[in-house]
Amino acid sequence: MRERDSELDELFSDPQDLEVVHLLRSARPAAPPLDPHFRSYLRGKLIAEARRTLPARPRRPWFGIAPMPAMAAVAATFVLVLGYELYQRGQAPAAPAPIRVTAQVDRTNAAPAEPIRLQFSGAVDRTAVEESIVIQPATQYTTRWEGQTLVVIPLHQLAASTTYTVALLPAPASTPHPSATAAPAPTPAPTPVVVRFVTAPAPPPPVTPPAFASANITFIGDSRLADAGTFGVATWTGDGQIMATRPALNGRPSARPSASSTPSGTPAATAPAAAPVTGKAMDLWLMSPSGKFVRPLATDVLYPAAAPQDGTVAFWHPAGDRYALMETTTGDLAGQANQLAIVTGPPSAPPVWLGADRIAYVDAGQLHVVDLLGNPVPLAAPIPVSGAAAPSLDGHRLAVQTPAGAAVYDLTSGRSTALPEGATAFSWSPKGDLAFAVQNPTGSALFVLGATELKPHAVASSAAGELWSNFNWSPDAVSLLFTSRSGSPASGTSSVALLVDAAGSTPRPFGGRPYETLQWSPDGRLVLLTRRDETGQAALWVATLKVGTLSDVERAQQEALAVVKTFMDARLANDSATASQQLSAAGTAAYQQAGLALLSPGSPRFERWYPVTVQLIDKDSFLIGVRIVQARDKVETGFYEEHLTVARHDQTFLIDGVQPSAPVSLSAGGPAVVSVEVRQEGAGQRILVHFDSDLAVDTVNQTAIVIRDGNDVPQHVLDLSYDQQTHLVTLRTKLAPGSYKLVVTTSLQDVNGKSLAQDYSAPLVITG
Amino acid sequence: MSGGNENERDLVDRAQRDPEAFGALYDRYFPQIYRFAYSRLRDQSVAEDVTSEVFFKALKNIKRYTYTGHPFSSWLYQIALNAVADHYRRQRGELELEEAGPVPDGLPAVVDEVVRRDRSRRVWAAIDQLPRQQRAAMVLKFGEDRKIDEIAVIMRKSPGAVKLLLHRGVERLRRDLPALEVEVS
Repeated sequence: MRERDSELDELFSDPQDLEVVHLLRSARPAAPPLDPHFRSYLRGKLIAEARRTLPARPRRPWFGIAPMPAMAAVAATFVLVLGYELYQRGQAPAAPAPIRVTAQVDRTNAAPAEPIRLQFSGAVDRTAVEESIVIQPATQYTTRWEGQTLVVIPLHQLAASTTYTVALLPAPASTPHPSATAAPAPTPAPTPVVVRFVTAPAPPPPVTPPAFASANITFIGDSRLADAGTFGVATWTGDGQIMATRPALNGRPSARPSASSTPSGTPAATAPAAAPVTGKAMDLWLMSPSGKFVRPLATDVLYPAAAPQDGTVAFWHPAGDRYALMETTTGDLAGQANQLAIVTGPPSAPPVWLGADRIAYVDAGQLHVVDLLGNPVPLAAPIPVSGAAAPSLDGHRLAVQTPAGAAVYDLTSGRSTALPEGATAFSWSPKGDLAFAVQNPTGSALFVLGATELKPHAVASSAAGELWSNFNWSPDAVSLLFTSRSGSPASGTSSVALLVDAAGSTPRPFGGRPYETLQWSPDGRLVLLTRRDETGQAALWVATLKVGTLSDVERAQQEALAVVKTFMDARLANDSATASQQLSAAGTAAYQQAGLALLSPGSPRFERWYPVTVQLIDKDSFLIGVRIVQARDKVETGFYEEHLTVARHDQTFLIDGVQPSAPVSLSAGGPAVVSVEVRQEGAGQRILVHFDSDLAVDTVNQTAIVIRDGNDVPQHVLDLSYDQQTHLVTLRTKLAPGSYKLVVTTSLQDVNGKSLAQDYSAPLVITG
Repeated sequence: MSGGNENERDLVDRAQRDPEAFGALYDRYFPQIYRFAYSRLRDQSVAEDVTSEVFFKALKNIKRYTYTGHPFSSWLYQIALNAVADHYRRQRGELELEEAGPVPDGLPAVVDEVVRRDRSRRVWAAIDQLPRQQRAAMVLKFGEDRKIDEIAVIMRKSPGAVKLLLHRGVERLRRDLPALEVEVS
């Protein structure tokens, strides 16, 4: 009998569990049969191979000669240009060509598994470079080359809030042969390339229900994670990470067979379809909560589906002329995936997880289930599928559309319960309640079938012409988010996100924006969603929720934003009276002095608006910048901004002042600022400027983006960084309290070489 | 850090350059890696293939191995886990269970031993029927006496997730092996 295991003692307390544990502990598996010759045979082969590959070799230099001492490393910008120059391999010493090494890693907030990319401006000896890598603290890693960029991929999560050093430590250029007897000529020791970065703080542990209460939430704001066209679908993993598909970086076409090459008669979707089939390969990536694509998980992925717990993911992958059901985990840094099943036709929906260890999919109109080894799991009764299918989170029940109508199947007994005719948009709560919609000619009705109920009950119904879909339960199984669409393709459609108490209440708007496909994060504090951008395409956003009581400043900000929303919506609706009610006397005078029209009924007319910046002036006043997009005959032609001073007057906020910007024509093209955010961090600030397109990296500098004070004097910026994935420029400053302005000049270009249409200026308020 | 771990670290450092040191690592870890492979595969020749694959992969990559505070064996188990998964991917489906192998020395009387072997065979056969991740966690904990933190590293999961797998595994054995409860009690 083995010694007690304190871990097992802590883990198991139930007497019946302890009996099984005791049995397992006392019944160690029998020693396996072993051929003693095998052990010595393998040892001999290994030693022979080790002698061939292991003999100690001095580290090879990966450049031809040693660098000049004067070229010391200087970290200057976010795209960490090490002012360290090396020499191209093979160059004559008399005419060395410098090789620049550029490191791309968030220096102060690196994701815990973020690859470290070192870009070389010239050819190097790749093997020698790889051999020269030293990471401190010790880290297991693997490497790959993307052109001239060396990507160092940690094989485990890096420690949070820790300074890491990645060094390339090349050996001296002239290395004596081990057998040489003469003393080698002294060579200057090369200066190493050193990249230092600090990993992000550990994320707060998810708050699990019932600590989270969806009945007591406030919408705080939203931020864009990915622009339209840069992602396919996105979803939360069971452990609270975001995974998203994105077009393959090398633009390769998908390996998936064309529809014509697959048998017809493929079954319909097993769940609401989400991924576009574009013919272009989509890769699956882990995405940080700030929208950065952190690490690839799998290539050529169709319809990923996250397991309800941990970071396991199932997806479809082309396999010759068929499709494979694959499974991998966000923790598998080696990018390995397991093949579980093969289907003949192109899948039209994601596989669905039945609990944590079984996956269901549809093939030839029938539901099939496999475990995570790919072993078929028999069903108690065949389940024909003609539409959507959604399993309960514990995997015991399945809501499904069958040729005979919608029903809920008990997967253990095989018994089914019919749902009302037309039931669709199934969504299960963590407690086992099923929400679904029934569409009828006059609108939609939301039903909930409680976990212990035999019959569903109606929760709410829509106005005529509204279509409700995409139900998503809050983690505490109390509230539902969903999308309501109205209109028609001919007349134009609109959508709005609604929040409803599942126990029965009138749905109320969520966030006040045309959000779609909303997904609550596992801890309930964020909502992943899509929102149409200027071109009508879906961009990926995340909304932040405040759970519990708002602080005074947060409440004041919500009130101020609500006033601006009322003001702007009224202007777009040509409702002069309501708009005017949001202006104080000073605000009315400010509009008159600036010659700004409140309404724009003619051409161009106000088409839409959105907030660009919200800055705290003091606890009773805010600077809120809004961008007003103008259109002629429904074609958007340009925009301008109004920076509104919104201040408290007795019990309500009113608009006291306005500063307009110059109009910008959309026909000129070029990059545009989308939002400006000021974050006070200790004695300094972080100023985040979000652009709408890929910027030319070499134009993102402190000439193009400047902060000026009230006298137009440029202010010192500690550093400036640019994240290509999120189009985000971050400036770190240490400004004294006061008024400043952010200026973006026309020297800034996008990757197509198009310059900013005209200088952009936005006021900044530093409160200290 | 224990002195044992420091010795292991030195040995691993040397094995990155010295074939004989790699041989010493092999001598130290062969039994547990082979046992682990066999417990997952139940086929001697396949277990030999997988064990061979593990050590050749370890040799190929040992220059990249850096010490992270976890035993070197965790890394080997990680490679073994992947090799086993690769095997199943190639083979599809489980291999048939074989009879339990030779009995280690120094065990109780013959009748007790027969009962013990039967129960052992049945409980480990039941473990073989668990879902893949539960099975790996159970084998590493109950068969290999690994710490939960180590299993987490090997399986690339959080310690909490490993605890959950162990819990589920034990629960499922409780459900699937009601007769065993009687025997134990």
